[in-house]
Amino acid sequence: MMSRYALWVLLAPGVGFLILLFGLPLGMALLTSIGLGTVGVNTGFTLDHYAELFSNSIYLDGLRYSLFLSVVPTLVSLTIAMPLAVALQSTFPGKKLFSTLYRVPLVVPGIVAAFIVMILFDRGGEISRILKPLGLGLPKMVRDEWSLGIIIAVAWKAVPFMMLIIGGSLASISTDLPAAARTLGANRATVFWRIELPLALPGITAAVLLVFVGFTGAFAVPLLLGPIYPKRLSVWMYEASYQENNRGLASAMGIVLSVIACAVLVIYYRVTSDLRNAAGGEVR
Amino acid sequence: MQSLRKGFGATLVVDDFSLHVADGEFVALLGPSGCGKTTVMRMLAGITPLGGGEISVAGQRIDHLPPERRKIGLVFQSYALFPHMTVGRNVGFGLQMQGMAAAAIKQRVTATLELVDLARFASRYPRELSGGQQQRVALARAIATRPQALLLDEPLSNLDAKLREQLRDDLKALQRRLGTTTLYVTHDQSEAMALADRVVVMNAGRIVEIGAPRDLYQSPRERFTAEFLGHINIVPAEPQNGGLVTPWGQMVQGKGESGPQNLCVRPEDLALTADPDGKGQITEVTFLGAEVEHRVAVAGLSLRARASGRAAPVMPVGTRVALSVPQDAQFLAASGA
Repeated sequence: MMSRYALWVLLAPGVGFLILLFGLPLGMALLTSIGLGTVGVNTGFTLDHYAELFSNSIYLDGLRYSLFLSVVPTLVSLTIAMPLAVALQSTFPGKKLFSTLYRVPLVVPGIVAAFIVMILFDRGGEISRILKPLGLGLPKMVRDEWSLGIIIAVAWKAVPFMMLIIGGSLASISTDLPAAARTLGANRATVFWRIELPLALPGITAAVLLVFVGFTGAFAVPLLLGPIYPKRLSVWMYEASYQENNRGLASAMGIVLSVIACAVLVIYYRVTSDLRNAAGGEVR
Repeated sequence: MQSLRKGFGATLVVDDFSLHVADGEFVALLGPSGCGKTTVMRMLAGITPLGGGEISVAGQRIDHLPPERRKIGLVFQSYALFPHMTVGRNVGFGLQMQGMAAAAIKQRVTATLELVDLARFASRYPRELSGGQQQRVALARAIATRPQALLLDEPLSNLDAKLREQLRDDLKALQRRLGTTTLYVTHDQSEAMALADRVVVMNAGRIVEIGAPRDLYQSPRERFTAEFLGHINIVPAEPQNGGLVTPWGQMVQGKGESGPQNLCVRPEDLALTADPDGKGQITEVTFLGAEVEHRVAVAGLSLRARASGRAAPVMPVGTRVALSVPQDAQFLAASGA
């Protein structure tokens, strides 16, 4: 058996990294947000920063908008990625070409994706120019109220990522299982809902969580393609921190975002475990 | 089944496979790995599309139906149990698909699990069971829906020898009790012979020979069958005076053949007696427990002889022996080569 010290030595690089670069800043942010800051002005214990955050409508709008831009693109990406990942399990003409091409967005930086969307979908963009002679026009898609441009840009990158993970977990299901279900009287749709989906759920969960976390922190794409108002809470954080030097408020925003992210994870796990039960038994 | 055909790429995996299985019959498909027997089974179940030919059950064509409407149960070599469902839910899955009421499902699941002696494991997950238990769950799941026919694809090949034998006996008893028409795929000749009413010997995608186990073993028409069903001695014999004469000079009955023939003699049918003037000489002795095997060199051939029982003589290497084959234990191979 490995000695306790050896175990700690082996764990140290990984755990130490987490504590140092994740735990420590989070702890400092928590302290700063209640006025016990080591970074900002130390005012003594106060909940003023949270009070300001939850009473000022521009911050509440920012919070709502942040949530919108985390949840909606995740759902949109999942809705697109899921059927494609399923389709890629079967053979069809041109599959090889498709499986190569769909990965291209993975290597394109997000900011480039944002510019692509801007060039294509903005008023006076390429698509508008093509449509104009036909008497057609695009709705406002860049800096618009519903953030269509942002959703397109981030989903364009997230869809192949999700397909890769979900496709991997679908491919790991033995082909005998759907076949067995078919011989027992299940049609294709039932096989998907009762066999493939529950068994691929760990992969789907992972894909959704990773993409969701990525969207929560997205900064550049919303800045480029988002509307003037509302601004994401992350953008307000940046302004509070660097333009108004109000570290306490910025930290409070950060803590609120972190709490929301954690809450979403908990809810998501609850929902998926219910789904697993409904689909016929506990998984693992 | 009529003239089933299936090819993958340029290779024809199954060619002109025709078989009629009677109601309640137990038929084994026997052949070496890769001979196409599993493909036949998957085509019957509808998992692998048919390359040609037709499949009928009780006079009704089923080859155009999707697998879920064929009412054919299939037990996979891998068992293919649903890992996220309990044993009870696995067995009840097919019943649920039939739209049976929950109470009736529960009853049928319990009854079916009792048949395979696993009723107390209904709330366990497949991963919590041993290989033999998983195999029985797979069987229970396939028979729970009372299919028109049951297909078993090497169901015992992942188990150890002793368990395999026990489950083989259980399986046969269960099949007799239920009277389900059963097609059993295996590469193990003793399994096929022990279980089946009829054995279909397959090679390279084609049926070599069909017959009752005893007939195929004792009087195969094809050399492939003779060799696949156990050890065999091929002894060239020359026609003489309406009979055939072996290299050691024994006359056996012929059927009026004109050219040289190949006699096929099972090792247990080749009798050896110590004789200083005998034509054969022992080259190897192997004690196998229930049997003693002697290797005999005679006229440039190396033959196997087996004797069983406590009284079976063990002759040392170098002993000269006389050979004899009983008249009724020998047969002619159809094509010789």
